[in-house]
Amino acid sequence: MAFTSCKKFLDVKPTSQIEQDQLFENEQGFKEALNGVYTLCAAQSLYGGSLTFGYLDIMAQNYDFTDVGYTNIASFNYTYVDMINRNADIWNSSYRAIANCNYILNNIDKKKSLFTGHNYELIKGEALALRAYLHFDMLRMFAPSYKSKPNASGIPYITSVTIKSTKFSTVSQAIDSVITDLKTARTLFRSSDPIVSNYSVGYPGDDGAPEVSDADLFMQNRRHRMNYFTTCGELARAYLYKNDMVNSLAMAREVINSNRFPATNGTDFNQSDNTKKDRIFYKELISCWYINDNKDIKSFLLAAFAGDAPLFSPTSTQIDDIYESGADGADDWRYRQWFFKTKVGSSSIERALLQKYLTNTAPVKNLHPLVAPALRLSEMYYIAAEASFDTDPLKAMDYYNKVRRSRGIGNDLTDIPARADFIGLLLKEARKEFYGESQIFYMYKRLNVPIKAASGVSYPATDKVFVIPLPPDEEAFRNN
Amino acid sequence: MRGVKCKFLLVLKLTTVLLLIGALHLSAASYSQTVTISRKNATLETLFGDIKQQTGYLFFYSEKINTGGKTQNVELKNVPLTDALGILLKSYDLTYTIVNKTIVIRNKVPEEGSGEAAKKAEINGTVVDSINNKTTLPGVSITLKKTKTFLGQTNGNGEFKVAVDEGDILVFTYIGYSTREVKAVTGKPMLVKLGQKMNNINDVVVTGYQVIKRDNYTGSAISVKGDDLKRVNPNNIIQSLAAFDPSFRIDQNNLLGSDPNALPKINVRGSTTLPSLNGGVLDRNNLSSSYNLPAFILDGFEVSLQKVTDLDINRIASITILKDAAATAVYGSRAANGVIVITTKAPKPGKLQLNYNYELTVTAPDLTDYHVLNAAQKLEYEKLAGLYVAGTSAAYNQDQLDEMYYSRLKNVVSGINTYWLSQPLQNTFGHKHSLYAEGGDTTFRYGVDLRYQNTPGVMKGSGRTRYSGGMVFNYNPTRNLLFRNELTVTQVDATDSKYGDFSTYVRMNPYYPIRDGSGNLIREVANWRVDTHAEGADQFKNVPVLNPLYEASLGNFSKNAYLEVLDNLSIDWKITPSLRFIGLVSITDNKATADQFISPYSNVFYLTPASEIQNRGSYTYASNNTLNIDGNARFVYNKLMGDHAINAVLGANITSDKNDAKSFVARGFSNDKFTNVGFARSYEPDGRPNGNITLTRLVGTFLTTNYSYKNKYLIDGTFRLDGSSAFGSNSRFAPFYSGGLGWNIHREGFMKGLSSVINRMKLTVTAGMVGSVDFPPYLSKTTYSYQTANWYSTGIGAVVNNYGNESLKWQKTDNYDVGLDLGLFNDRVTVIPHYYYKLTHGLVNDINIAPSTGFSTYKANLGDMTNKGYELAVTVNAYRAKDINVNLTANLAHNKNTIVKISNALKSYNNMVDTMQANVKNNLQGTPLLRYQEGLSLNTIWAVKSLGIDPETGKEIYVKRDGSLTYDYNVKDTQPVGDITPKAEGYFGGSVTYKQFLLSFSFHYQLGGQMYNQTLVDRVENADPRFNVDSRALEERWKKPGDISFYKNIADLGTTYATSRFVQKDNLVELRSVYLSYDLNRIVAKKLGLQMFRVALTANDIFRSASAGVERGIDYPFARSLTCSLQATF
Repeated sequence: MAFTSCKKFLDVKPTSQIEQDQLFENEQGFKEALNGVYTLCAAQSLYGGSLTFGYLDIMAQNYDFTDVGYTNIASFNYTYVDMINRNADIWNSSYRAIANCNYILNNIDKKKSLFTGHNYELIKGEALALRAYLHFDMLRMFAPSYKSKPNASGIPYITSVTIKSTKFSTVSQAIDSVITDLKTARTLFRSSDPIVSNYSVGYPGDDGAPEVSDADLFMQNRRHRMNYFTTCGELARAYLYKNDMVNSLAMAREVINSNRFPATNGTDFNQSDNTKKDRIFYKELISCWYINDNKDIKSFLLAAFAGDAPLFSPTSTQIDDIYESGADGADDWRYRQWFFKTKVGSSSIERALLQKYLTNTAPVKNLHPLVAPALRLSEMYYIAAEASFDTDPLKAMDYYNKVRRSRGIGNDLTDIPARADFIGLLLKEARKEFYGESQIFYMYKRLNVPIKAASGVSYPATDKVFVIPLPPDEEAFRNN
Repeated sequence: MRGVKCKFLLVLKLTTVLLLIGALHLSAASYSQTVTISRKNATLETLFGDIKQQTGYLFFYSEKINTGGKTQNVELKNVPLTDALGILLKSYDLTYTIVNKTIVIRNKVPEEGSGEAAKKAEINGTVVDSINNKTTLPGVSITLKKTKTFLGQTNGNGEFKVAVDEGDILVFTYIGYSTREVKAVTGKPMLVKLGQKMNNINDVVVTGYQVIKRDNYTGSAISVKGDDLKRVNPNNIIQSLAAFDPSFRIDQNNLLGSDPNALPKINVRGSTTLPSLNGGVLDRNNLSSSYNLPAFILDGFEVSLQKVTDLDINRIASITILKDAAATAVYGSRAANGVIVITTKAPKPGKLQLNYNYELTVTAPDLTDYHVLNAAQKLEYEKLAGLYVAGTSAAYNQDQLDEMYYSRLKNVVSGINTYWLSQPLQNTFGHKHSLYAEGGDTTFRYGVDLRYQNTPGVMKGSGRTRYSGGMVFNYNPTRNLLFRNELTVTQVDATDSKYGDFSTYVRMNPYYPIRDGSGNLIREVANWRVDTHAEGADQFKNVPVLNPLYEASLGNFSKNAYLEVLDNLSIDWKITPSLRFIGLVSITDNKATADQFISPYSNVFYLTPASEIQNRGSYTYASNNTLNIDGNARFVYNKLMGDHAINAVLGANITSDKNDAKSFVARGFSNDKFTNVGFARSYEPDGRPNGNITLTRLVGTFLTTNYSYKNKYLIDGTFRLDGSSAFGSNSRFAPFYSGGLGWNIHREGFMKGLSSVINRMKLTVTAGMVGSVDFPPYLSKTTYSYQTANWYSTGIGAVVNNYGNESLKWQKTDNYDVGLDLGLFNDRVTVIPHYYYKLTHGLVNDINIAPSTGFSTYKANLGDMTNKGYELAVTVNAYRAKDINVNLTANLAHNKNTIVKISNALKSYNNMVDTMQANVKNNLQGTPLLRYQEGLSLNTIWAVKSLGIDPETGKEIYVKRDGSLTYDYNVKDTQPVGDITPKAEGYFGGSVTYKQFLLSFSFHYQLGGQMYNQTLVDRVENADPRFNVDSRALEERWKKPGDISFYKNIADLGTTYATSRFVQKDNLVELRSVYLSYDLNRIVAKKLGLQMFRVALTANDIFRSASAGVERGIDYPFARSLTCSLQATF
């Protein structure tokens, strides 16, 4: 008796931090834990930085550097100390976010009775989807591509909270785990996610403020979180990665045919008034990471893409080349709106500064919040094009042309090209679309094609380039 | 003001409580004064019981009186008490006296003239102090040894007159003096000399839970009287305590020197914890002071180190350092680093006595270790260092350099030679007044103390002012019950110097003037153009040299203060003569605030761009409230049964510590006249308020017993069960235990013949296991933090902080101790050697795990460390004569620390340190950083081995790990090159009393350790020649081939790395204190209406001789002090 009351007395609840059991005492706690995972994902070491514009895009040879550190990254010098640290940072942060998902999943089934409405399905679905999304990106970075070595050791797929290290899955096992989690999440979302039935996509300032009008903050901005269509889109990615064209096409089509994500209006994109300007094709984003409130990232973005010495900038010639301004790309909206050509500092070389991630400084408002794209509609078209080319090349060309037309490129592709040529065309298009979004690196890797640099150097499609070595700590401290 | 009011209210409340208790007592005491007894065949005890019940009178008699055996029939009805007693005792050989409601029963003394007893003689004499043979002792009690009859006391002149038989043994007892037995002599007046007890506190050991006779105790403990403590250093309790026991070690804080606001770093018998890593790199200066700290127990309750340093030294009755397991095991999970038990003075009964104490402390900065260049030397040094040769830097061409040189030469020639070092310093006068009043009768005693003490520091403007007031009540409603309440209110105000770090002044060039022609302070005294090696416009940068005195002239301030209210309430109840119950409750409430203002004109904002001008100036406010509640209850059992003596304590305690901290930073002030935080423009850009609450709780229960047989053979045993909120939920309770054996060899028959040589010889052996919880609470739990500064668009996020190890446990320390306590020639020489061995296992440590788990480390109990060593303390009463008494003391301690086992995280920490050290940006090349290796000490110095400077080239020769030689430094060649732990450390000193004078002194020494001489690196070789340097940089560096020099080429501006070249012997002797006092003769004092009057002089840190020349006191210089004190009792 005295002993148990003693135990109770000693069971001190922290007040400025909160204990796991306390957090998961109510629905609100689960919501906060879920928001926490998004905060982690939107951090600079993940999608608010390295995994969007700061690291994989350097490897995709999208910028031009004189700085030694970035040159080492751009030339895949994986033994370079800074690069080892960056890789470890990405790996550790991803798995930290995954552990946060697992804490939610560990607790949610025991507390099912706490939830109101569809929140149980939503929260569980999102935690599963996030876990799959993060693992898939780790797989795409740290393991050989499915195309080159499907049975090679991949990554550990972590589904529980433990300090014992989990065994590595092979590449194909890991993709299957990703697909399983995404499918479960998709099922959970189908009946619960408002984006499926009754949801309109728009800018926050539009009439009726679609997306931000719900009285419950948690139910606003479905596209800032994992949703039903993200699971479809991510499944399309994953099936494509393992060469399952049929399923991949089905998933991409589901997103396209839902017509949930309207094409961005030319007047919004080509605005001269900065407060009314859509810089990112906001309405076409199926999912994105919200980074508007992160001051560190905002100031980092300013340093990266503006000022006298921007950290990340391509030369104007490089951009002209990527966007084929000499051929049919001169009128490309993206070429005209996403880049600002100027000479910086004392250098004589003209540079093209990326405008995608700039915001107007407060109090001048922006048309949309600052976000990092997680999945965009155009990628669904590219996937659909690639997945349907073998069976229906005309349909594939139609997907391809549709994106080009919506970007202001007039002349359609009319003659059926050879498959390899079509893939080449898709790559060119995707590179334009994904500039500063890192997806192009994964595409090179998936297709196992060499990466061409502006200097004319070409990095061959080998594991030495495509497989980022595991962080030393992961190798040193695992026990299986 | 608030403090005073608060105290007043509390007093009112207390008085009410006490009055209530008094009233209760009165009603209970209304017994009758007559007795009615009707019993048959009753023993005396039964009858006494009846009388006690009816009258409330208590009976007091020793076992020696003859009450047993007989019974009697009694029939008394309403007989007055005295008559009743007469009747009852008639048939016994007993008599009685009534003293204050107690009936004392004694054997009847045989009546005079009866039988063959020798004739009583009138004997007279005088009792004097044995040291000067002059001071007479009034009030000495005299008893007859044979019958234990009290014969009387000496009068005011120390004279006595008793009637005894010739040859009877008289026993003289007097407080503070040794008891003496003398044979009565008739004829001439006797002269009885009583010797003062050298250290009567040494006869008992105060463990905080009980007071035990030293003879019957097996633990290792050192006790120091408050007065002795004060003699060594009246201004610093911690420093002075160290002089009595070198295993109580204070780490030299070379950065903070004599800053009155700095807390010392302490360990007892070596380190038992690893410093916590928290991601950073450690060098010896950034270890926190709370690391390895012993537990401080003040009047039964645990207090902070801060509380102890702010205590009024005049209030201390004694301090006991408990070291081994047998002594500390009652403190269980708090005991591994030793326990310091402090007791304050309890009020003495008697008429009102006033004790006033005044101290004047003069301090002066000690700059003897600073040798900087003067203006002419500095310029010469700059020239030799190649500062005025074009080509070494692209920043200037030769013409510009020449111009620069000559403009400085002009300054030098025109007589500018600023001694910057003295600018921020001052000599200080600190005052302390303390007043203590005590008095009362045996039922109610009180003590009131007031203190004002200001301790200005030698850096201008820094200082610490302490105010405290307290009240103690002792209330004995009956002989068996004691209530005690102690209330203390302390206010401490601490101010930091606005002159900034002392090191800034040390660096300033002597050819810089302080003021311009019109007498105004110059803000920018120089401007260096620096080549940053960056491209384009950024290649050159102007670096201004700003005048620190300009900064000091602004309205900056940095101060902190706390108000602490402490109340202790205790009940001591003697249930039976051998069983006591003691209950205590203590509440401490501490409210601390810190305010720091930086003026908008500050040099900090010198480079602020124009667009940010409205954000200049900052105000940082932090508050910290601590509430500590501590309660303990215990039963104390003491019984002597023939040859068996038992002393046992069974108790429990419970503590709760709550700490609530809040802080914020405000920005944007228009000037430094309006410094109130209300004048701030906004919060710090992107800043937010901070807050943190921690709560720790502890519950413990313990049993400790001492048994001795014939005072010869001793056995100690202690068991404690502790529960702490910091332990993981899988292991909430921890057992701790100890055992000890002792043998008083001097009490053995075979030692009888030697008793004139060896009067005491006690051998003790103890062993046990104690613990420490040196990790923050909540590490054992998985906790979440809210991302308050960074909301997601769909709400605030909560993120997991750490992997909570539910199995996290306390650290366990196995502790073994062997000791001898030797007293020779009636304690004229005492020798106390001890040997100990401590093995700490389950060090709380970071464990690296595969990051794919989501965590890179978690805390677990992994790692072992040992400390072994010996201690020796010797005291000699070297000379004793009529007026002179000379005592000498010396002590020595040796400790060896070894890391037995460490975790993988600490090993990978070593790699991280290598990387950090190699990275030029961190500027750590010249500092030996802490590294850990199994088999080596925590105090190892790590650097690359060096053979010194090559006389041919002036370059350093390094030894690689494989033993080959090289000019190229590689951080991977770092090896252990020394150990800072001295082979022996201790104090020696002595005291001389001559008549009314007392002179004592104490030296500190250490031998056999090493140090890394940072000064030689930072201030001689890595010194930036653009700033002032140590004079050795000019005088002793290599200049031309063939020079055999300790230092590398003077023109070599490359980095000097941490190498064994700078590891030097760290031998040291310093005179820590000299004390001289004069006591006014008691008779003279009496005439002046005083009971005691003393003037004293203490000088601290006056002399120092060390083998290594180091600049000491980098950010705050060391100081010497002289204290004059005056003590009077009315």
